[in-house]
Amino acid sequence: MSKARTVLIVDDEIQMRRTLGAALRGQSYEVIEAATGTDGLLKVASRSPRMVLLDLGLPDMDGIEVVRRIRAQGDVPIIVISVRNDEHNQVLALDSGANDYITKPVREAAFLARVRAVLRSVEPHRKESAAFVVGALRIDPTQTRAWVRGIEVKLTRTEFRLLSALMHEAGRVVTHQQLLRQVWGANQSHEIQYLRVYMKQLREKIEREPARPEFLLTSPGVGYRIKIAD
Amino acid sequence: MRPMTATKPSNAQGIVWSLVTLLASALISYLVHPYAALSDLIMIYLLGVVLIAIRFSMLVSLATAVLSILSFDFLFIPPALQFAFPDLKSVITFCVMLVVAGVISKLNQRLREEQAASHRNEQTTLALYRLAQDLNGAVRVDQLVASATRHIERALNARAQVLLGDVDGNLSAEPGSPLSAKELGLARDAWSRCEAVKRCDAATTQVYQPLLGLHRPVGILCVFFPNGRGDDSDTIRLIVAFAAQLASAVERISLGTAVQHAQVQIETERTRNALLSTVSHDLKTPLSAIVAAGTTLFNEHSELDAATRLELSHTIVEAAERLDDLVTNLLSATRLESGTITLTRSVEALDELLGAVLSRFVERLGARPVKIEIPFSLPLIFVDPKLIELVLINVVENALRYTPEGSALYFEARQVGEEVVVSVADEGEGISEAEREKVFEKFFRGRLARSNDGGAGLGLMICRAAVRAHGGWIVSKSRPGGGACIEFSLPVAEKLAPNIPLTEQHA
Repeated sequence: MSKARTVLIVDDEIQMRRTLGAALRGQSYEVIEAATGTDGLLKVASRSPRMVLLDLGLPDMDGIEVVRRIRAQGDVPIIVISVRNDEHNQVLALDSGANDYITKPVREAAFLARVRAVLRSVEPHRKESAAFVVGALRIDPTQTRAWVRGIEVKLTRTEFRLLSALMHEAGRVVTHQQLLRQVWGANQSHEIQYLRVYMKQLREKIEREPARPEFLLTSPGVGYRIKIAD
Repeated sequence: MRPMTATKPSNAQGIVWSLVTLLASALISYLVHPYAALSDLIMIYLLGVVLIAIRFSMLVSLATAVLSILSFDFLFIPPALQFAFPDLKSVITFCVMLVVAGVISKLNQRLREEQAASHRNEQTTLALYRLAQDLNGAVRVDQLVASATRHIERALNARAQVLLGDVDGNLSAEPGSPLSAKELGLARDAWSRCEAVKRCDAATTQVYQPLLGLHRPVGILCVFFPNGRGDDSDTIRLIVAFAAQLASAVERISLGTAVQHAQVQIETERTRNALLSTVSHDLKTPLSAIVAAGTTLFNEHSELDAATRLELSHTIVEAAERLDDLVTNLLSATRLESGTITLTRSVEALDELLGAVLSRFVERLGARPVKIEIPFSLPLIFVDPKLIELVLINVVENALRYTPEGSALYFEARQVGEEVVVSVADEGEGISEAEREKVFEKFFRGRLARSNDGGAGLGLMICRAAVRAHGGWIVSKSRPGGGACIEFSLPVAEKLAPNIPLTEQHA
């Protein structure tokens, strides 16, 4: 029972482990810690945590490598914690299988919201057939129809696929590559222009003020994220 | 471009012309002698002598004069066709003829010499002028040496080599130098004695001319003439002149480099001082707030009420956020300044970047009206998204810092040719004419800046560096109706590849 709420923090900085641990314990998560990549991988195998918080700058091995090895073992969700000037690694980590990333310095409210979002997105009992709701957005995959605040919007097939890909990962960042693969297929993964153009059209249709979006948020240099109410 | 008189006609030519003139004089005199007196006929001979003296050497002129006298005596002084002792009047005329021949040919000789000298001077000046022109274009010493060597070789039609002295006062010979050990020895000799060294042997004439700078020699010009040329004073003069010019050019460049170096050092020093004062003040202020609030909270003996604890925590968070911003800016500024930054460009949409930036400022924007005018048709831009995000963050940060709560912000973008021009304007007091340029300088704080507002005078400097890294421009100006406006350009992305249809049927 308690195992379902165990979170492993892998970070070499004791202050970070202490602070993140305190925030998580305050929400009655059980916290285990590791200071190195090796120890982290060991604890993923031995303790089977519900989620891993992973710092990319580890003393003994590259954080991306840790992501890959955890992914090779199973699909425990991973949130990468990185410093701000680390976009390249963030994208690499996400494309390697991390579920989300948080930049340092970490703000508690935003941090807990991302943790909840990731846990929710990997919950097994997701109803694919019925209508899917995130905040004021609702889609019906069976009929490819979409509603914003209860009002139906007409979307093209591509726009719909884009919206539904983001909604299924609501709250976490989906990288450009992941979106391109999911929406256009593997061979189009470098044509980022299409993504920009379709995002623009999608925003025009579902946002009140497209330049200050409420739903479809941009993570410059990384990807897109659908905002969820905390 | 050779004046006729500059070449000296040969004596053989002179004798031929002399005989021709003599014959002509005799013929003319014979034809006119029934109508003229003897004294008139001698004038015809005199004219012939003068003509020869103008053109030919002293020897030929005097010979012509003597032959003229003899022929005149033989032909015209009675009794005709035999030599007779002339009368006094004729003797005087003969003497005059000799003197005229001598004087004219002497004058003529001097004139020819002067012309030759001025021609040589002209050639020297021209050669020096061309060298000076070549040398002025050079900005590095190696360019200078290469161009001077080329030039001197062409002007002297000989092989030339320039050796330069190094900082320690030694004559350096690069590893690939074509000079033999012996030649190098002679060059070193000229270098240490500070005077020209000349060596002549059967095959070559070698000249080692020091390049004399203001205080010390800066190098050696070596010239190698084949088959015995290069031994005359004109050539040596030319080499000395070349060497002087080359020396001053080398000094000009090395002094220029030294000045530049000193300026860079001064600039570095200034930056370091400014950085130190920024670090000491702007980093220390929030740090001391954190330490103070933290230790108060940490003290278990103090009895703080919940509200005070909250306030202290808030202070810590605020100060830490400010520190974080400052460190981020300092790092970005350093990365941009050092030029080591590599742009990770991709095709981006300006409205997305702006949206991401505005969402960071949601709380601080509060109820401020934000007016955004970005046409739907605005093309995509080809930029480093994080850098342009940084530009927008800093511009917005600046606008928020210097304008009253509740005043509006304006964002506009339009396409101008191959650029997207973005302008961000506010309703504050604006930027004074005098500060228009300065706002983009490092550590510059506007007159309205408050010392404790967390700004370090880096924001707009970062903006300028980032925009310029994209090949764009950034300016500050006044918003019509009051307020400041920062305007900058970004490159438009290439048109979309046409293989994917952008219009499709609704699902």
